[in-house]
Amino acid sequence: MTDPRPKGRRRLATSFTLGAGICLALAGMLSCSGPVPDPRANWSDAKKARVEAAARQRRIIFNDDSYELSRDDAGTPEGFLKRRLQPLAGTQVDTISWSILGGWADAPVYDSKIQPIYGDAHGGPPAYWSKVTANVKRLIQSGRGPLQIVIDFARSHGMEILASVRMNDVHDSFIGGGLTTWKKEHPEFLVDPLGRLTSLDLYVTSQDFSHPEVRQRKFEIIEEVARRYDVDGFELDFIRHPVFFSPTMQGKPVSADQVEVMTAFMRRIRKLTDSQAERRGRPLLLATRVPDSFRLALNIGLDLKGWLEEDLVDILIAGGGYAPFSLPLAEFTSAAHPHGVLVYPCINQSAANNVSGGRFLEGVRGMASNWFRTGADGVYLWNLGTPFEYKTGQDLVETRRRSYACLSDIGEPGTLAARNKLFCVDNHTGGVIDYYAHISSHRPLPVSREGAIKYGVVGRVPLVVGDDLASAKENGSLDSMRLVLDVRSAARPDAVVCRVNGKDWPADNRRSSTPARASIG
Amino acid sequence: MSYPVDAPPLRQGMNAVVLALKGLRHRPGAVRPEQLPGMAAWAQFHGVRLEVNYRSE
Repeated sequence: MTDPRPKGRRRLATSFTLGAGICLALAGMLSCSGPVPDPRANWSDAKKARVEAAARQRRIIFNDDSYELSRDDAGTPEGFLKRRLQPLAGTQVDTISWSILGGWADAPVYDSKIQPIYGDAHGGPPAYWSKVTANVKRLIQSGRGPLQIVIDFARSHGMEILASVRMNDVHDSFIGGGLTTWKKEHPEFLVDPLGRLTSLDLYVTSQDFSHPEVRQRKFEIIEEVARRYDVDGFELDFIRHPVFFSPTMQGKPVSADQVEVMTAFMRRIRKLTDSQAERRGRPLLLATRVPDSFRLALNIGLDLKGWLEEDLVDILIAGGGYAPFSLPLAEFTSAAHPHGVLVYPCINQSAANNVSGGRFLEGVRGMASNWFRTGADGVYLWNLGTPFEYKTGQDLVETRRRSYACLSDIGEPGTLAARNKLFCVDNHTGGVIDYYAHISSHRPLPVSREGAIKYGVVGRVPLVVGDDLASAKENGSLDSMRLVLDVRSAARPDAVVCRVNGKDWPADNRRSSTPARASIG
Repeated sequence: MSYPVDAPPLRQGMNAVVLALKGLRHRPGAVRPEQLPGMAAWAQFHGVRLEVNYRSE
C-alpha cells in the first residue's frame, strides 16, 4: 500500500501510537520479565485499514455549513464553489467536512431519495437561505448534485472529504420556516420541554433519541450516502445540537439506559460503514464532534470512553470551541491515541474571535500552539466561512482574507513557530455561548462572576502558553511580549495589581490601553 | 491596561496570573468604595491576554 503522506512528513498520531507502544514495552521490561503485548495485535482488519487511512496528511479539517448554496449564482458548480471552497486550494486544509443536512433546518441538501430536500421538507423554501432549494435542484438536473461537486473538488485538490451529519440541528426553534413537516407531524418524537432550564430554551425542538424513529432518520441518511457516494468518511456532529434526551433539558445527566441507546446507535453506524467499506474496498472513517470533556459528553448520552474501547470512532473532534483556552485536551489525547484514534480540537470562529478581542489570527495561532503541545493531530475549524454570509464584492474579499489568513500556518507546529500569537484566558460573555454551557469547559473570567473584586480579594487565573518563550528569547527570535488586562469599572486603575508566577509587575510599567471587544454571533 | 512582560517569569506551559486591588489606605470610619450603592462590582477582570511578538513578522 502506498503512503499518501508527503515525503518527510510523519503523522503525529502514528508516531504517538508507536511511541506509546514502545513506552509500554519499555515499562514492561522494567517491571516484569515478559514482553507487553502490542495492543494493535488485537485490532481487526477493518480497524487496521481505518487506522492506515486515518494516518494520511490531515492538518486542518474545514467544516462547511453549505451556505454558499444560497447564492444567486450557486446553480452552477463554479458559482457554488468559488467563494468559500475554491480558495481553500493550496492552504493547509487537507479535509473538507461538508454538511449534507445543510446549515440549519435538518434536511438534505444533496439529491436524497429517501428524505425530501431542504425546502421540500418544509412545505416550501424557508425565507432564510431561500435560494438553496432551487439551486440544489438546478445542480441535480445538470447531472452533478452539490455533494458530488464537493467530492470532485476535494479529489482534484488531493483533499479528503467527509460527509458532516448534524445529529440534531435546532435552528428551527428560532428561525421561521425551518421546522420540517416531519417534526410538525411528530411532536411526540421531540424532547419533553416541561421543567426545562430557561438557558436551554433553544432546544425545545430537539429530537429525542430514545425513539427508534429518530435514530432511523439519521441512520438512513448515513446509509444512503455511504452506498451512493465516494466519501472518505462521516463526521457525526453532536454539537449541532447537543441535546438528545429529555433529562438534559432539566440540567440533569441522562440515564444509563439512554447512554446505552446512543452507544448501540454508534455500533449500528459502525457496522454499516464497515460493511460499506468492505463492499467498496476502501475504509470509511467515523469522526465525531463531541463536548469539551468525557464527563460533559457522558452527561448528554455520549460515552466516549466506551466508544474508544469498542472501536466506534476514528477521529475525535474535541469540543464545541466555546472555551478554547480551557479545553482539557490531554484527556482526549491520552485516552484516544493508545486506541489509534486521532484528536482534532475545535476552533469555533465566533468564540475564538471573541476571546482574542477581535485579533482572530493571533488568537487561533495561540490555541493551535497550546494544542499541538498537548498532542493534537491537527485542528478542526467550525464556521470559518460564516462571516461571508450575504457579503459580496470587496467586502467579501476582505472578510475572507481575514478569516483564511490562518489557513497557511495553524495546521502544524512547524509553520506556527515564530509567528505572532495571543494566549488568552476564556471569559464568560453571555449571549449565544450560554446555550452551550452544558457542553463547555469552565471559563475562568470574569472573576466578578464569583463576587466583585474588592480590596484584599484576589482573582487567580491560569494562562497556558504553548510557545517556548525562554528558547525564543535566548535565540533572539522573540521581539516583545505584553500582558493585556481588560479591567472594567475600576475607579482607580492604579490600584490594580498583577502578578505572574509570583512576580509583581511594577506600577510604573503600566500604561493604558483599550482592549478591543467583539460580540458573539 | 497593559504590561510589558518577559520570559521568565512567563514560561511555556501553565502560568499563574494573580489579579488584585492593592490595599489603598483606608481611614477608619470611611465608607469603602465597594460598600457604596451600585458599586458592588467595583472592578471586574474581564480579560487576560498575552501578546507574543516575534522579530520575523
